[in-house]
Amino acid sequence: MSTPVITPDLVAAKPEFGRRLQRFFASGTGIVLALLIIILAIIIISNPSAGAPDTLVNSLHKATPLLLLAIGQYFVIIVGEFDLSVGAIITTQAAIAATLLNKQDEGTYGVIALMLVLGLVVGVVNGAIVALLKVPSFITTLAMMLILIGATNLWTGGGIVKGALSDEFRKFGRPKFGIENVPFLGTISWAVLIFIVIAVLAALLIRSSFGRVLVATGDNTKAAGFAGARVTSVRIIAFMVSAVLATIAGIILAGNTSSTVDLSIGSGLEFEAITAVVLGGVLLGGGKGSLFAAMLGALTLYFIGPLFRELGISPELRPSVQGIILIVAVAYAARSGSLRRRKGPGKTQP
Amino acid sequence: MRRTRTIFAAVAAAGVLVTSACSTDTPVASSTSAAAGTTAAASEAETTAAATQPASAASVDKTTEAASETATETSDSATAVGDSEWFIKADYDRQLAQRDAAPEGDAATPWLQAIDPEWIDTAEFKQDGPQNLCFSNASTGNPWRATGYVTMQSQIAVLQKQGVIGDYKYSDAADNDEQQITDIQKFISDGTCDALIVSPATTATLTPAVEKACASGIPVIVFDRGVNTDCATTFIHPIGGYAYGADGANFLVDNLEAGKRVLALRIAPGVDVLENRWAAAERIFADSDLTVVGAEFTGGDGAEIKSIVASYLEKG
Amino acid sequence: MSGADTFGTKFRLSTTQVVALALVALIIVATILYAARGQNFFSTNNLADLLTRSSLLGFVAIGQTMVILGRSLDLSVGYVVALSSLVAATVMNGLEGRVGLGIAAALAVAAFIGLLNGLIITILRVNPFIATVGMGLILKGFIDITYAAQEGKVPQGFSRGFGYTRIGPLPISTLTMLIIGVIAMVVLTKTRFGAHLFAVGGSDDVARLSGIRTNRTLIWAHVMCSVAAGVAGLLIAARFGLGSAQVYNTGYDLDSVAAVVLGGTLLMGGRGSVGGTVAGVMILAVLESAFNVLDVNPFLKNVIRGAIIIVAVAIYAQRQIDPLSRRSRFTPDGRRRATDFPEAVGALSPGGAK
Repeated sequence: MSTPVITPDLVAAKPEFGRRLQRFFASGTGIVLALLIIILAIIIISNPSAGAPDTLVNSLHKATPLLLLAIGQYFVIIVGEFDLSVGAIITTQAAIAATLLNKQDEGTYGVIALMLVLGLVVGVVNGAIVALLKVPSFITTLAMMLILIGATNLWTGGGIVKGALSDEFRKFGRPKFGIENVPFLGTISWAVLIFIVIAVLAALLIRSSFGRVLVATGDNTKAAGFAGARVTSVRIIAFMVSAVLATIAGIILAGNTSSTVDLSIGSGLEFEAITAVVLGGVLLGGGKGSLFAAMLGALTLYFIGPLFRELGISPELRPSVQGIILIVAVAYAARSGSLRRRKGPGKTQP
Repeated sequence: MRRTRTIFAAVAAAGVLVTSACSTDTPVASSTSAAAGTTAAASEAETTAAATQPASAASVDKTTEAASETATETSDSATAVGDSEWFIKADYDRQLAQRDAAPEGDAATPWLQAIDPEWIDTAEFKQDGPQNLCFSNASTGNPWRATGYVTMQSQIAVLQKQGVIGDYKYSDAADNDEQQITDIQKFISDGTCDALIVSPATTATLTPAVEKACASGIPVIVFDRGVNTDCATTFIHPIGGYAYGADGANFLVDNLEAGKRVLALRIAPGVDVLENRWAAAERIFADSDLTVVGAEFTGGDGAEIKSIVASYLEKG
Repeated sequence: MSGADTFGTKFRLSTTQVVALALVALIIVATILYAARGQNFFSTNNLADLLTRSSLLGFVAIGQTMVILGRSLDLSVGYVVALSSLVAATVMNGLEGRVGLGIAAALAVAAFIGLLNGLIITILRVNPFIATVGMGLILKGFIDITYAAQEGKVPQGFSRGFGYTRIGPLPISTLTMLIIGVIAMVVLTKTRFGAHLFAVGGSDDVARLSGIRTNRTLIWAHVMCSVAAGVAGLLIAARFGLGSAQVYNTGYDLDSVAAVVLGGTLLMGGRGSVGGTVAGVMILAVLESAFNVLDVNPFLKNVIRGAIIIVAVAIYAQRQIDPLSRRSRFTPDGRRRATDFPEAVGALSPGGAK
């Protein structure tokens, strides 16, 4: 931090310790944490009941789909790619679940297994097209989004999903099911537990050798390749993680919403997920940023909605305020990061 | 690069040369300063009954929903009702009156019934033999429209078998006004349509295109959303947004005790029919003993609705 | 300008030429499909329809090409189109005498937004993705508060002249789009700015170390992008006869990026051409037209479109070492080309390092 690294892009490999220090100080974790605390403080001051532990657990429950999407997107972004197909994956999976289950409890787990397999397949296809055919991920996943939404519409005969989710299926998404009567916290829902397990697994994964290869590949694919990293397979795996987590997020989101499924369920979530990750200071283009900060970014983004409602900002004005918060937060993070790194304009690839 | 440029310059030049003479498209004949809502022919008997659907999950005891611009009872402080730029008293009164009007026509065939219709003699368009039909649809982007599309396809198949309809051409504009204008233009310029059905994406925007279609001489049938011209041969439309909103609001006013609080969930800002719904509902709430605690935009997204409702309930 | 051109490289198609070939192939297929249905693809009506469909996205995509070449991105273009149409229509307010003022106001507003985008990206160092998504949100709020869904009125003369007049099969709007495309090509290939933009897109660090004012270059690219979107807004106003806020839901942002990449421009910047973009836009238009004639289910269209985009870009990516479309970085001052060393170029290619 005290010794500025000049044009690190041109340095093929840096010492692990130095990079980690640098990543920590330039990641914007502190900024997004501060932003989250400020937002929570304003919400709790204007409505003290929102600060009760059980209410906070409930908020966490509602933020779970976005958190899971952010974790998945983090894996893709850290390796230098995008996944714009996650919203469409959620829509497709929810439609499949409703159609196959048709309100019947039996077969719920079979359908969930099928959905996870399908998620894996979509992830593998995305990853293979990006890593092997060298199609930019922005385009690959954008096209995947078109294909999935089109196919789902085609399959359901145009926008109406027949059938409905089973009660068993919905248990994973609803706040009332889980470990009940926990002191202070009320019910800890299955969704929150799933999130905690996945967050821990993701943290372990990113700290494993696979995680290091992932970050190295995102930082400099060429150098990582020369260093013997399997740059192709790590990228495919990153897309698989994203697609599977999107599937799990879809199970929770659809279950929580209602027993019927609307095809608009996933729309726009891909942008929210990317925004959350970037808000957490993770660098689009790869190689820099922490998983924890990405999750903080998702929580911050989630709490902007309740914040606006507490403050009574008119609904028409909210997009503008949200846009300003986004730009200011990311600009501030970039600024403080650059003071330490003394680098030119950051990697600005889309 | 340079080669590309040359290629495209050549293509452009060739395009100009191919057509020996410079022809100008028949411009839009929108000479009148489009008076709003002067259209008439038959009002469809789609009495917009408040399609009350039970609220999903969580808070059934506290929740009452009415129609797609839903309202939910919760509790909190009041918000003032301002005057709306979208409120036209005459339209509001007319639509509210139409809600109770008895539809004309045989009740056994409700799809042929109409409220306060203004019948036009269309005998001059009578033709024998199979006719080519063209349909420019705004989109199939919501369940209501998708159902309509599927139903229409089946009916057309039947009519084609009967030899009433010959060739059938369909275009879907995917809620894109510009694409729909182009679609209509194409139908007209191809000259193969014996009749054109238009379900416009937005009112004011599609007006010039529909006027141009009328000017081509073929019968034009506008249905669902309207356009600001009465040039169409037939116009079939629901009663309108005010009635829709008023029905939903009245339902709540009638069924809730005085002093209860209502949360309004709206789809999106700025769309005329949606704004009309809310303008009517807002007015009725203002005159009632109910309090509107908030009006939120949901984008029609179930998950978003759930989250908004839950957070209002949490606020207590 | 054959393959064995003045530069003395061996014969090799540039990506732009591949795109043009793909377009020609697609047109041949479409012609056959049309003929099978007893229709003529080259009829004046059909060509006019095709060209009309392509002009709107064409404006936006040409602008998008400028920023993508500079390794940036603009996802706020849809909102710029909507705002520009509203500004033009409300300023004109149906008066013929205010057409010039309306055009100037709309383009000035668009340029200002582009300037803001550029400043946020370069000075504040916000990633272009977030900067322009954020700017889009800000504009959405502004539009929803300030304007109704449709507002203003465009005078007949402008609406007729720009929106509906055509020379034979060539609409004035498409002609304008092609002219702007040619101007953009000239700017990119003949001016210092163009060379700088390619350099910035190729490698920002290298460009800056070479003494290029990278920030200024990128800001200009963003201004041009927004102004091009502003022209699209003018076309919307002319076609609709009024300004429309709902246009921002149409998806011009992602469509334009798809068209640019379909046109062979690298999303990572530094390589590509406006000619390719125009061809990419035409490909999408011909597809749409073929879908209509084949009566393709509206939902199936998206599936096919997505598949075609992936296949096309995969083909370009296989031949990513493309000496012809990046040469312009260095030829204006006659310096030696990096492409004499394919391996070196490979290092800068998308699948390789960033």
